Amino acid sequence: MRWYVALGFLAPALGLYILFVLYPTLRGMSYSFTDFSGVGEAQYVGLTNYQRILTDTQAVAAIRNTLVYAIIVVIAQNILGLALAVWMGNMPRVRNFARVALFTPSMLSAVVVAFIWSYLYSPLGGVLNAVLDVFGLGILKRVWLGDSSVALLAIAVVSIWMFTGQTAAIYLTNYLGISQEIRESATLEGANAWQRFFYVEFPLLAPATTICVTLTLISSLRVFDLPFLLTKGGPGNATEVLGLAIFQAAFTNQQFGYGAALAVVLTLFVIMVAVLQSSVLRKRESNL
Amino acid sequence: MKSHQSSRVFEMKVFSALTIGAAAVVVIGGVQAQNEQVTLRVAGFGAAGSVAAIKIIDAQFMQKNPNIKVDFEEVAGFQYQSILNTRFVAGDAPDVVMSNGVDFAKPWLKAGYLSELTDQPWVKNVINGNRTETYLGTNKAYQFVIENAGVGLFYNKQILDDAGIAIPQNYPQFIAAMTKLKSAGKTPISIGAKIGWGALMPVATGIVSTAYRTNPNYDQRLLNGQAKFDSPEWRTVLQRVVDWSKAGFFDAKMSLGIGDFEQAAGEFIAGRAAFLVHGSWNVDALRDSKTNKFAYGFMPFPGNPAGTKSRAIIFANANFVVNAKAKQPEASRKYLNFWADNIDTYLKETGGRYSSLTTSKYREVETAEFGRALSENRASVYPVGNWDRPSFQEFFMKQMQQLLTDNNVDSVVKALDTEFNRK
Repeated sequence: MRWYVALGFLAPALGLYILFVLYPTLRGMSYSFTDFSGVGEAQYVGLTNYQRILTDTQAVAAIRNTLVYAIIVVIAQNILGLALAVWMGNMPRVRNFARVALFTPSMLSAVVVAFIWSYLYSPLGGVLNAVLDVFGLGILKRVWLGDSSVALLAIAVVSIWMFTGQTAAIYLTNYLGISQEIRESATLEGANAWQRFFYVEFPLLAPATTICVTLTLISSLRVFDLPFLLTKGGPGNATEVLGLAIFQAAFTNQQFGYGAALAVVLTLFVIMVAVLQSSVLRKRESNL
Repeated sequence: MKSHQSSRVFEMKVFSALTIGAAAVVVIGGVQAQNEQVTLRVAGFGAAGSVAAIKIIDAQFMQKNPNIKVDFEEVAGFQYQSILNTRFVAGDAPDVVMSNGVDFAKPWLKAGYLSELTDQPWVKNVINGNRTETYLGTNKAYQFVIENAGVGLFYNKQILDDAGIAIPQNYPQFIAAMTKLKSAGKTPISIGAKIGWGALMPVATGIVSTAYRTNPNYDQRLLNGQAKFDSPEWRTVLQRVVDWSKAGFFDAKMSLGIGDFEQAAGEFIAGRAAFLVHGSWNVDALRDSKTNKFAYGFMPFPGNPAGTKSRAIIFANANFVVNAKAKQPEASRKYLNFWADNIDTYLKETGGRYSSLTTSKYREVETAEFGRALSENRASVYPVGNWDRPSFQEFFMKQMQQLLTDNNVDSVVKALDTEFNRK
């Protein structure tokens, strides 16, 4: 095929991509070097916005919290998702029901989920504290979204609750694809259930692991909705994350230039981490 | 000669006929234009419970001006500014646009989106307390302040009466009242600080009844560096919140998990707390509440020393500006004038709102004490909103959460000074 024919086929999609993705991205990057407020003229300010990120306690806290949140969510969601997939894989009778039930929370709107969980977590007659009381665990009661030592974890739990079913569904598809003969031969070789899982099944789940880790990592690095809806980044900066800091800078404080600089940092952050983990996991896949 | 004369007469006739015809076209056209239906586009954020009242005023306006149809669009609150910014930039902003104190309108004015309103009849009646919002720091008027909201102290008269407590008029009396309530097993005060606003209000109302009481130009002193947060006056009002927490008047840790608005106010409205430092707009909810069966009042927060009078906080909660590129500039001005003439109707339909005009006669029963402070000129504009630092309130609220977490006044005042002076 001649190059101009190929270009002709590519042109519509490429044009849309340039118009709606590439141009706004580059324009946004250019705003990060200005004092643009959203309306009126933008003045070039060089690297001032980037320098400010280094001295802004809110931005520094946002970077730290985003990393901590991503680590918690990626690890917990994948371990739980994997465990649930294995359980469903070995329970054919309840598999379909369990898969749908676990998947349902991810189909709910984040606003609805945040509304429900804010009542579960509420210090005024909240369900979670009441349940702890019933089981004699009153000592564990907390102001879940108002205590800076647990607030970020509390938000992470909501996210994990929402999306573990989705992760489990991906692992399950891969798990059910593992040949029964491989499992049987491992059993014949004398492997117990744990050994079979760790030395046979888990390595064979590498493709699903790559997908699940990549998806959870990217979505947790750019988290915005749950902290925004549940805590607005508080108490103090305890649940401030980069997505929220960008929103607050650009849309609450009307500092689009600074918000754009934070967005550039987040983009670089996501690209760097995603490329790094993806290359490690892909290498693991190629060893299969 | 005769033929020349008759030709001249003919010309005159034709000229006269054309002139009369043209005049008739202009007159008929004018009448048609007058009767022509125009649509006036208005956008607003619907400040707490006010949309119903806005619609009543709009209906009355349309009844009086049958050729103007008001198309009011309520735009989502938390994205209001972004949405309107986009529309202004795109040249698609409505004719009349609602704005808040000064944060929304100042960038719009700077970008040339606002129409000057100095010659409008209501401008001369604007109270001194709203000149900042009306003039936006210039010598020309650009905003019509629809309503002021107040921040002060709600008290449950039933609980106070049962405990034999008189309504406190100064800070020592307020502390004595809370101490007595605590001893009687009542919840003295409801504070929600999930975003920090609810904890900031006792501080803002406190500083107004102390530093601003003795120096009404305190804002200017802060702005030009003569006053700072690391000072006895700010330390005192911040320490008060810590002291309330230590005395058990409220649970600081728990307040961080309680919503600043509906949840904290809800505790008071349900009759479970004696005091609430909050916005006057709660009068709406208190009127509508089915659970509220108690007498209550709203007054300036008694943060003042004994022997002095407290001060009220007001701030322009909602204003109207006219788009410089309004498709209906005359109808827009007519609309604002109608609002100015009928502002008392709006105030009656809402609750806990105060006019920006000296011509307003409406006095609310439930908030009479607060209204009296305004009449006696014992009021300051909400300090944080008057510092021309749009992001500072967010920062201050987070610092209040930090204060409730670690009780460290010292680190809070230092952080506030650093942020306030950030270039």
